[in-house]
Amino acid sequence: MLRCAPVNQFRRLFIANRGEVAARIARTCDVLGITPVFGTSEADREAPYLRGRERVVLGPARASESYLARERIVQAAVQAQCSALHPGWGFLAEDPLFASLCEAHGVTFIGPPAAVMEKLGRKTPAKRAMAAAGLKLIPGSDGVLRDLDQARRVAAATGFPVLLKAESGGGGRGMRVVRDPADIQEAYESAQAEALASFADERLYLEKLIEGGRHVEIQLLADKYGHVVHLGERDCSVQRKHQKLIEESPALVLSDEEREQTLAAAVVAARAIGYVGAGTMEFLLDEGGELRFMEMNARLQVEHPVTEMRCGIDLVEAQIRIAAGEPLWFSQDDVVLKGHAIECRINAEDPSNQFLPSPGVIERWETSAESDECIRVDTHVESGYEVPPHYDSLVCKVIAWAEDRDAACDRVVDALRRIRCEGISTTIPMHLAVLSSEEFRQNRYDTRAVPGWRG
Amino acid sequence: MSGDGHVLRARAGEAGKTELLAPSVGIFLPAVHKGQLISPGQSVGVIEVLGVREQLLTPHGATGRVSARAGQRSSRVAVQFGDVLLSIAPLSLGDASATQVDGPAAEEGALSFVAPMSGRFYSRPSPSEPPFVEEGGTVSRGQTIGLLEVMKTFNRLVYQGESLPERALIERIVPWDGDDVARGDVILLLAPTTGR
Repeated sequence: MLRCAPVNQFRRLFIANRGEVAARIARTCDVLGITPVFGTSEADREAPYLRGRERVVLGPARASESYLARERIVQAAVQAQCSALHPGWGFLAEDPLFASLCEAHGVTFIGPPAAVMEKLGRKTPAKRAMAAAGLKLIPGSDGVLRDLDQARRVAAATGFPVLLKAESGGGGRGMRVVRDPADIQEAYESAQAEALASFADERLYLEKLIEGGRHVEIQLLADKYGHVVHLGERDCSVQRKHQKLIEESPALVLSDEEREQTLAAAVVAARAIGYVGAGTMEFLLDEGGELRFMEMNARLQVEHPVTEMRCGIDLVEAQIRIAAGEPLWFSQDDVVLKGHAIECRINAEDPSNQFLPSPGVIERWETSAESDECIRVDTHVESGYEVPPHYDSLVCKVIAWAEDRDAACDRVVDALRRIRCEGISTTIPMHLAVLSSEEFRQNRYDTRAVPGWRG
Repeated sequence: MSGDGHVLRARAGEAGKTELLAPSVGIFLPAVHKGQLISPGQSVGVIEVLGVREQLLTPHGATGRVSARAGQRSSRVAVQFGDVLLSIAPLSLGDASATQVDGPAAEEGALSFVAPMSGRFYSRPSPSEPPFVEEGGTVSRGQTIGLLEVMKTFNRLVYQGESLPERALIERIVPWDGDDVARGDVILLLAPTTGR
């Protein structure tokens, strides 16, 4: 992919994240000739990915006093003379207040404008905007519910089972499934209480519960001048407790017609809401084959390498260039999506023991697979690294590319088998079981159960 | 960090000195100079984070003379979390190190329930609910005594273990609700329930 001139705007970029995320962003900074400065917690200060790097210790291990401490992070970025900040994903990546704080102190936030982020963070304005742009929605309440009586009426009209969800929610909190009309009062009240405690916003809305189905999402890029392109879709249906485990592209469950139609509508919708930067629209493909909008994530995602492997565009580079005010340097017609890519997220968890977290020292870590066009290993760990108990359990992502799905599966299996990891338990055995299962190979499964895994 | 001031964390340094550590990244504006006498509760300066200033107070037990200061002679010093702001030398050679000791360690041979892995300890199921167990109460095998958050997942801490009796009296719950604990740290100090 043709690149334009180097990024002139930014000389020093603050990375407000840790682990694999921070290492990923730094890699692109190195390519672009930008000096990354890492904001880190005390627990991570000696981590191998910070060796030889500039870093500022923000606070103690506890995320609320380090990776989630908005003022400390912006202070550190200013102190380190950084003119841009990349939030990565997770932590403060979708926090409009944080984005505003960065801008107010002269640090360019690499992400969408705070106002757009705020709108997308609340669920019903986002859904309205998407419906207006022509995307299909999951049936349910039109906006937030006024009270329990309205919840009863809407639920009856929608048809049970239904899902009560928090307007400002996320991560499954403030969410309740209601199968029986008799249970709605208790579900409504407990969801409200949980939403209030978690998000300081007790408002709920209601959706038809779609069980099973497939999780399909669309990668978008938009510059500041109204140019929006999509980079194809991803299928992220291998999930456990709403956590994605394996992602791939293309989503072969979609018909060509449905794919083209939805990709085009997503571009229109992103332009309509004034989106800027890298973002993802998430859809649910129900059993009837309808693709319905769920939500838009105003950030780069963990699984973005799947898309990068197919289109050859570095998404972090695109984010930095867009934030620097450059127009997109390619059009939709220039985007060529090749072959099939698949990613496995390897977590420090014991799949044979209910996925119990497994922090600790990695005595030995080897991946004989060198990263190239066909295999990519994104990680921040090495032999002797201690996986801390304070943060999430991702230790590595393995991404494989090949001409077709079967070959990509074989290639990722081969790469996983070459990983030597001693000292902690990982989810590699689960991935190997899934990748060799009939259900997964024949693409016949849904989000309710991990295909080929009974652990 | 808010309110009337932040009590600095202390660490034992070389030669009986006490080191006071920066509580956050930020700009340190010192109010003391080298050679000055320091007593507990005294303000030694402020830390400024995005323009918001907070007084920094010396901790209990920190008494002596400032032997070194971050930034030497400058009045605004950019620091990061954990940097040494001040080094305090004890007044006389006979003085013990002024650092505080973290709670009493478990006595030799005492009964205790320890953390099975590192994580964050929670004494109650949710902030609005009562704690699982209380000091002075009893605990029996299989009972949940708290939650341990490890890598964003909550795990029940169940009272069990070969060296522990079927039932025991809870003398002390060592960590506070929300404290970080390391694997092997004492969570409950216990006593046998004999004589009942």
